[in-house]
Amino acid sequence: MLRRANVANQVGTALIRAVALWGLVAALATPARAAPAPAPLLQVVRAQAAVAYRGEQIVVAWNGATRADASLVRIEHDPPAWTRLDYVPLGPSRRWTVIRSGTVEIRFDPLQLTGTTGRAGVDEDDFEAARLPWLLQNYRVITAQDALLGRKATRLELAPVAHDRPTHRLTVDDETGVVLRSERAGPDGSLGEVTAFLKFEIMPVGWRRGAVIPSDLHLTPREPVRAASAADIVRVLGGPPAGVAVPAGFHKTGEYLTGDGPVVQTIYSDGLSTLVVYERRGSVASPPQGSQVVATPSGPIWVQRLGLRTLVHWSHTGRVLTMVGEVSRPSLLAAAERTGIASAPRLWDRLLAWLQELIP
Amino acid sequence: MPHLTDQLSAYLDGTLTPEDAAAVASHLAECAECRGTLDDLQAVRNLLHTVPSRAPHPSLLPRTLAGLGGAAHRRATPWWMIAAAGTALGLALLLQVRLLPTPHPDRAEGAWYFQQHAVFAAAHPMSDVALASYLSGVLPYDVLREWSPSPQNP
Repeated sequence: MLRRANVANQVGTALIRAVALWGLVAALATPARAAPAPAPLLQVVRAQAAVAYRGEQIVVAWNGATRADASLVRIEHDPPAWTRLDYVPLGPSRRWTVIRSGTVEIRFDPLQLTGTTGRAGVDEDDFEAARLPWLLQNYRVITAQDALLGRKATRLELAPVAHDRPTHRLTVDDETGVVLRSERAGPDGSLGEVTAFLKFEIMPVGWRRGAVIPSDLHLTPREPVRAASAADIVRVLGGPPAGVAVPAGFHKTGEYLTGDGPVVQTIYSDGLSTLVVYERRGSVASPPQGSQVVATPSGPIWVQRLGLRTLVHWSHTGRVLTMVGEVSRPSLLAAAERTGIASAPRLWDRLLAWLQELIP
Repeated sequence: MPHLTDQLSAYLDGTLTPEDAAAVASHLAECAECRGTLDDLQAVRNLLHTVPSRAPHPSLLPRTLAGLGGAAHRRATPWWMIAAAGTALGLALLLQVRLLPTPHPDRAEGAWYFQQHAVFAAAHPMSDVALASYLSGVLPYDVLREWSPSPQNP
């Protein structure tokens, strides 16, 4: 009897252990759920469509370690869709103004009254449904109380899990969700871009409802960007697009054509940062002006940096590829090598490319 | 009085302007030496008109062509030179020597790619509207190129 009881105990213990083990395995196998979105993050996303304000902001962008460009900006915003930005650059650059009204954006020189017109931005999917989960997976969000311009604020730090892209620091007005100050720093901690309100005033919604675009502007249309269908892509590239191995955490969000040009632009997002891959036909990677060649064991890649952004350019399987993103140079080079790099072009490839360029 | 010897042939041909022809005629009225030269020129011309015209010999064309072919044959590149050129070309192919100029770089400069990137990044709802507009408009952080003074857009 005692022996039977011992056996039963052993079986029970084994069963409990098995269940516990399976539970542990199941818990480990379940994908890590992203942390819930902090309220200030959602407030930032929703503020542009809800809050009317005006103010003055300073914008500074570093282009390398030694050069920075700055501008004072007078901002008027009236939701949902009126925004006017008057830029007064610090330095010799000319003044310019941007007005967005609905889906139309115009940019003009306020002194010469000449400029361009085009669509405001590019169609985007719903951020909270599509992008926010990616953001919470790819960035750690740290919040802290802060104050700015005499207003209560929350400081948000969005630190990338992969240490190859910028960290964003936002100071968000608690009352409205408007970003009062933003900083973007590179993987090495150096500041890349800063914006900060010097004056900020909340306005009643509708305060610019009667605003009109100056009637005596001389505007020329900008080259449009339009969504590319699968048929467009096959027509432009002569086949399906190359499978580009983008850095971890990026997801495709759209494909576009610029005008009637032969370039397909594929857009990726990690929830916060944007990556663009340009693809065209060709076997010789004619490099963009200003880029520098890097010899890899597989073949040449051309690289260019501008502030927080990196460009890599190479050819692979009869395609010329260019990738631009706020991602470090080693990470983009690694992505190009994972994708595949054609060896240095042979003489007859160069001859063919040369002859093709002779034909208009 | 200066003579007009160099204009007399044209005077006979009738190719002078009316003013020059009148000047030559006026000169001839006073200059016996030039009148003599003109008579000599006219005599030569009359003599040439008396020579009967003759058709070319039928064998002239084949002989001429044969002569040209022979000349071309004599100037042909020696075989060893062709062999040397072929060897050099083969070596160039093998060694990937860059005989041709590099194809023109893409029409787009790097700035175009960065600017396009900024345009797409500006659509992100968390992008700072002033910064995004600034970057998409002025990359590479310079005056707007599309508004720079130019013949089309002064």
